[in-house]
Amino acid sequence: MNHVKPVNRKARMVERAAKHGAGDVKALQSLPLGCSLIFDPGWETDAAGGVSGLCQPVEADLYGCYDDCWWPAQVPDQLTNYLSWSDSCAAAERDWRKLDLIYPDR
Amino acid sequence: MKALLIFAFTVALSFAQESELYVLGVHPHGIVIFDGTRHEIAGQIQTRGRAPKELVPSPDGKFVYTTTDGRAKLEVVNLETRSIDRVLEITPPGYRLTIYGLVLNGKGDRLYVHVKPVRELIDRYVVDPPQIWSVDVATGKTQKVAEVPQGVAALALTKDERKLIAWGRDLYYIDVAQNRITDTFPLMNQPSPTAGALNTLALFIQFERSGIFSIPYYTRDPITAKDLMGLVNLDVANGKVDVVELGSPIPLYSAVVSPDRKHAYAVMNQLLAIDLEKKRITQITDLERTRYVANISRDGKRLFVSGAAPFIHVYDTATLQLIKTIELPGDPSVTSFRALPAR
Repeated sequence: MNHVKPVNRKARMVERAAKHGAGDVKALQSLPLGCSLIFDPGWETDAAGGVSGLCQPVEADLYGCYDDCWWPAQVPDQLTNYLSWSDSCAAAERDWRKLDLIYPDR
Repeated sequence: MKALLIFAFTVALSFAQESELYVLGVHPHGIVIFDGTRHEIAGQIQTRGRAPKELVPSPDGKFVYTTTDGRAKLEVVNLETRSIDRVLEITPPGYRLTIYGLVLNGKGDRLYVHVKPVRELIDRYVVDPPQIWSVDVATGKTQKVAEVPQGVAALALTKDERKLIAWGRDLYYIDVAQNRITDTFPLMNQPSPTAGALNTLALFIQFERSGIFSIPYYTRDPITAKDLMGLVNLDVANGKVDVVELGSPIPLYSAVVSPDRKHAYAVMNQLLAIDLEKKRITQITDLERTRYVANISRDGKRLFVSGAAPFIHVYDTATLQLIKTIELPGDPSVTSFRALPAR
């Protein structure tokens, strides 16, 4: 790596980050500490690569992830973008069919 | 004499009939009052904002303070009229707040809130440092107490009310008079390289029965590279911490300590009974679905398990046998599940 020099802005940022550390991630400022950082329950697989450590059934955990934005790529987030997503469905395990897909604004 | 006997009998009867009440939030806009004596729903209250999270009862049991609408609103719930009295407007103009952590003083006139302020400017958002504010319950006026590091999820107040304890990546003790962190108990940031970071998620706050705020932790021993779990037990009255190691990890979201402080019960996909004196797990039972949170009856004999899906399950603490399942009108999700003070 000593012979590799960064030639563009992104490469220079990566080098700076490697040298000085990334610091506090402010993009996640809305979260205290995701449960993914606690024991890696995972979305598709758990920390051990299996499924027994996942929430069961997945619908039971849907609003847990939605409410506090644990998995913002997989589930809409209530904290900032999709406050009314669950309005038509009080219980995800019972009525998950009432939940609509999310189409991000372009 | 006869009148005295009738009076004594009436008093005894009213005590016998007095129900233990609990509150929890449900989707999309509600608070459920659960009767822990009769194991049934005693009432429902519509909130103005969505999905209540923190729930903090007043000392007289007449009000509950709750955060709603993505932890942005702070509502005052009147339990006698079963309605929302008002919304405390604590957000300054041009800001958006996210509230993680709420505690009330003993007199019931001052709330402490941990807020994460974001300034919404025309061209960008500016993230201000997380901070603790005190809120005058009567007027809604706020005052900054101290800034805290990122990652705080819960607040507690010592009995003498001199120190706030903020549970984040570490435990921060904030002197209310000095307006600063005066002490830290390390969790994630261990001072010794021989100690593994204690990773905790302090989202489920239910210590009213025992005075012990108990949260599961996970760590990796840096010497043996072995993964371990246990409980971080914070005595809320005096701020003392007891770290109870329990062995190989079992995924758990939260724990509650029995009123006699001898046992703890922890939940996620399984329900664990833990002997705190012997520091070991004594019983494990599989749950039919994932649960986030549990609270315990005043006599320590019944465990009320909820969170995630729309149910409260009642368990016998001695046998971990399921006694009853109560269906809720909506998902409690990551709500608090708090016992109301006896009235």
